Amino acid sequence: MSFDTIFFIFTWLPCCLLLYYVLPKRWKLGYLLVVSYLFYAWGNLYRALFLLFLTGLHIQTVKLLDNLSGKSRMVLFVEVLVFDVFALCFFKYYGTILNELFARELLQVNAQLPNAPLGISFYMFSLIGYLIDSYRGQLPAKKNSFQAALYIAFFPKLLMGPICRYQQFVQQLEDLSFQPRLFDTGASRFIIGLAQKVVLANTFARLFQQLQATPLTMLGAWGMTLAFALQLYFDFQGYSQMAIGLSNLLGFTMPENFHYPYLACSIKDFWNRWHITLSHWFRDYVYFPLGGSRVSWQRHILNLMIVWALTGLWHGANLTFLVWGCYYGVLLILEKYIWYPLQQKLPKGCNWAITLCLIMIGWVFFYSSSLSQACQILGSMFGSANVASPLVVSVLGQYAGFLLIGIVCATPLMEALDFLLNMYLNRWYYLLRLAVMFGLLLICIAFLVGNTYQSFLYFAF
Amino acid sequence: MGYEYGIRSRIIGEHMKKVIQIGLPLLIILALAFPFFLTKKDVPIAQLQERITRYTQELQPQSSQRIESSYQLHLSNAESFIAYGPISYMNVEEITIFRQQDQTKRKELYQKAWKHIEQQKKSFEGYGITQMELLKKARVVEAGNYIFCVVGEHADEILTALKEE
Repeated sequence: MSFDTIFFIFTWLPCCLLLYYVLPKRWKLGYLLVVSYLFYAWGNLYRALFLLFLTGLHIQTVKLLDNLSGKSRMVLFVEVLVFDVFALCFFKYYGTILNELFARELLQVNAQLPNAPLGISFYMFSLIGYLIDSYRGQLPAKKNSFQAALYIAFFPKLLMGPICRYQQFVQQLEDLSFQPRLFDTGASRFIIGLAQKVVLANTFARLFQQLQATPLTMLGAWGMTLAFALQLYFDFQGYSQMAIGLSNLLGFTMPENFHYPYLACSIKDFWNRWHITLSHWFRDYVYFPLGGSRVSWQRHILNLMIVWALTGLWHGANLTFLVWGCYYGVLLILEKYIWYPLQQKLPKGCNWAITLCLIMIGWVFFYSSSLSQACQILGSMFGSANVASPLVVSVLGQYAGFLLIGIVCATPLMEALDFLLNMYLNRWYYLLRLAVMFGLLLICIAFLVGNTYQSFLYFAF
Repeated sequence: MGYEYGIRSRIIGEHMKKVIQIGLPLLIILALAFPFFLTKKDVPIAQLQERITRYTQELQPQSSQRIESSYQLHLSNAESFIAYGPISYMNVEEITIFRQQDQTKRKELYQKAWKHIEQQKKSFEGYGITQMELLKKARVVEAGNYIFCVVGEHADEILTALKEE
């Protein structure tokens, strides 16, 4: 089940919310747990059983860790952690490795492994974080198995994040009463997220596909990359908004995942704005344990490369993802050790333009299916092909309006407009906001009904 | 601190620890060995051709050039193919099967097949209601070493027949 379907918006969600707020407080936790598993099991029971198994394993392990000490505690922790990493790697990479060996005739088996359970990359990080925090003694002393199970399976964040921490989530379970402001915010965020996904992301996906089908030119390559950059941003930001909105509707708050990443003035700044919860997770559970930056410069460089290689690999088994991750590792190293003095001297606009260019180059590796294709596209972007073709100009012309809207929506302009209207319209602001949200919802429904279903990009990870 | 254990709970805890310590490595070994017990049935393309014969009565075989043009691909990316398409350009029914053992190339063929469907939809958007209905129900499926692209009233039935092979 996906958030951007008519069934979810008009059947599942209203029923879920209605029952949630009608039930007495002591039943809400259990209800959310049941609903979350039902959501996940919808269409595939096995993945829900797998999640149940992993959750049970971790809850039991945390119980044991609380009562063990010394070497046996460490051994148990390492064992379960290794199993977690193995489970993730098994579904994401094992099939690819075996098929690669089969294709090179080093192996006689042509493996068709089961598909990776949807959301495994995200909920596995929640599980690993929960385990590590428990080992470090950072979890609240009083634990509840149902609360832990809900933290893992909470359906708004289960499939694509945001990746939140156990401590942040559980303290909200103390008060599950109806909060009108949060509910109002949640509804708005959900609709805005839906619009970002259904109207903008899907449109840019079509633009990307159309440009991909044209012969490669410089304008086409840049247009394709811009379309992908906007598609990926609105797809993922849209989902995050919907997830945060749904959480708000249920009385929870979730961490933000994006903060206008295409306004970043440095690569470091970009990663403080893009998929924030993922980069914080890698920072807290990989980068800091490796020593972070409080080591020799050689070790620091190694730490950065390890973290970014893992970040790239997290996205998929393709070599292009690894190269994409390492590309950012190298850029961050260069920024810290070489470019930083120059960056301080350049005007902000200049830094922004250079950063945006570097980000676009990075996306080429992200969407290419092979390194040779990536090199071909990069070559076209920097002059190895014709400048433009009438077909590319025509395609871009058709989508010019959407491109402009997309670029505006990727900046804080809409938020600034909202702030100004709130300041000057006073009581009329809420009526206007209601009308705008209603209109946006109608537009989303029209797009949902009219278009082919396009799944969330990050479902693939 | 943490969970308070009585004696019974402590014994259960010890058992659980053993289950985890023995069970997890066992699961890892089983998972690693799993593909070696799971051989993918490699079906010759001729066998699939026989399976779809009764669905191709109202279609005609498509040439390589036609496939390359409508799918925007080079047929060198596929090891072999079967393609049946409509007799008239106003119809959209088709059954196309690509065989490719290489997973990366198979993925590309899969994407090309979907793009072909999207392109067809653009062509009939606004005036071909029946064609649009069929295109919305179009199926592109990866199964084993094959990519199946099926457009037609009996798309699901055809796919079931192919997958059974």
